[in-house]
Amino acid sequence: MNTSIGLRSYWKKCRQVIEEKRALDLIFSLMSLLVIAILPIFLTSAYWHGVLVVAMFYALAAIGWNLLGGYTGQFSIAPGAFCLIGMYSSALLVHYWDWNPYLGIFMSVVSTATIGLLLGWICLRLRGPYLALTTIAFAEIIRGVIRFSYDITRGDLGLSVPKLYGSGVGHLDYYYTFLLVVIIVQIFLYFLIKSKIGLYLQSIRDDEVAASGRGVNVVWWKTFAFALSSLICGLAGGLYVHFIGLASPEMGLLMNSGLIIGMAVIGGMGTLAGPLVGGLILHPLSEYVREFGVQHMVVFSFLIIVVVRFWRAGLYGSLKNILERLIFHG
Amino acid sequence: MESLLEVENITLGYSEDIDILHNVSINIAPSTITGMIGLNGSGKTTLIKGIYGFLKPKQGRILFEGEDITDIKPYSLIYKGIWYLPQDSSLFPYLSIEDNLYIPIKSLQLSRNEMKKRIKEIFEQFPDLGEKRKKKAGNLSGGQQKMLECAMVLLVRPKLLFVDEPVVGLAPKVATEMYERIVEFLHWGMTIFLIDHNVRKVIELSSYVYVMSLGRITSEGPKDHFEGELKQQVRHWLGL
Repeated sequence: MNTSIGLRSYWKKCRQVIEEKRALDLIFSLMSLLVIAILPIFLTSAYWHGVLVVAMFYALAAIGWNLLGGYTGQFSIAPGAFCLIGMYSSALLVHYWDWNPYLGIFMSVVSTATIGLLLGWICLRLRGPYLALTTIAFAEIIRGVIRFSYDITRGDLGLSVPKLYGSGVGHLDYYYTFLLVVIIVQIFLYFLIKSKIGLYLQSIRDDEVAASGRGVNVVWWKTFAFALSSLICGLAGGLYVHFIGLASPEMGLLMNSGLIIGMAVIGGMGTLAGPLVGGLILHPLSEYVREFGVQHMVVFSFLIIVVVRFWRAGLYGSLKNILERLIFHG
Repeated sequence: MESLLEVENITLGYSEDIDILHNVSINIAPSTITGMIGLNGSGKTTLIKGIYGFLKPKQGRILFEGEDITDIKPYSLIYKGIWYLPQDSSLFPYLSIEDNLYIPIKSLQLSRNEMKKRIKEIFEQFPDLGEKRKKKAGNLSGGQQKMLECAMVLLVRPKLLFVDEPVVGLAPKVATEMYERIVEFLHWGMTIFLIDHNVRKVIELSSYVYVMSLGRITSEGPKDHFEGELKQQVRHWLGL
């Protein structure tokens, strides 16, 4: 009897702490990452390890886009372009000047943050379709410049770069590297979203004019969101290029941006765990479907339609709503 | 007359070639309610938008406590102690009640303890909001949303408060509560600029009243100038 009462009061306290600290999202994220950490025990083939690394890349890019699209409400269609910039920033430095790949990845982060800041500034007064079109145009310019600067980038042939851990190292090392980066990014974003900055970004998403009247410097925080979101996409691109060993303009295709955005939407926009869930379910699923010879994009597109129609909050977003009702509101 | 806010010959509009306000001048005395009445489309809300920095005046200037704030950005008005209670909701519907309250108060850069103290006081004054503090503001009823907006005012404690059509769409009971809150704001030491369709209420609450018609101030004076047979007077002021 006493044990039961003790447990109940302990659970009540836990609930209060989780609600107060808005930690449900973080707990779910960390639990998902724990599952991801032990996944290679069950999926032992090198092929599937490779698939999981790519899924982690997409998840990281979707997490980056989610900060801008999901939390700040700025519908950019250029996450693929920022991954591309991240890839080529490091690839060019490593290929031509023999920079250390780690330093190259650092420069990916710096360059994408700077270009993101610039794009954010250009897009300040744009909303809805105008913003979307501008970011599409930006993405196409970046891809076009890279494709046609053949003397420097080798165009569609791509630029070969050394892998992060040299040749002969298995996919698992990359897998856990990505995992570590995603954990750090998720924890950072958890604290960011919980802070004043997170509230400001979400207020801009809900109503820019009202936010401005409530003391939020909309211009500054929108630009900040653009830069940080681009930085995370650039980080994903920088890591990815040193996993596959080739920088190719294909990453900048609109289809890739669509994939990244789709993962965030299907997982749950404006949630911490949503893009992670989206990336880690959808990429392996599309690879699995590919084995049967079915066009994976057809399945992916069909899923988007189903989720948007029936679970607008996304897979994790809907689950989160249910969990919140069960845990916090009985 | 001592002024907290002076608007001097403001002309402004939403586009380059069409002016909505023409040489509008008003003075708002400290610790009073100054009212403004006028028909729909006369430019009352546009005037607030101009003062608040959402629209840029083509000519004229705005002085707050003697300082020129004509080109000030809306987000920085909170630091000056100016707040706007708009006609439409200015809440963030997907954020919780608590977060809605935290956004302006975090802009004020108060100490953590002061913030918590003010939030606690607010939830004591508005127990309904306190109970639902983790619920999304968009899920509140119209009346509760208005109360949340009032809670924000008490939280921020501005020197000057613009109140634009505070009771539109509210049930009579909530509307009465809303007017009581406006008087309460005055007792908190705030200066209020009230715009409302309810002419009698504006005159009852205000110590000085402006009448606006087609973007111009057509009449003004202390409240006793506006007592008597209102219907005829209003028709005259509004040029009907």
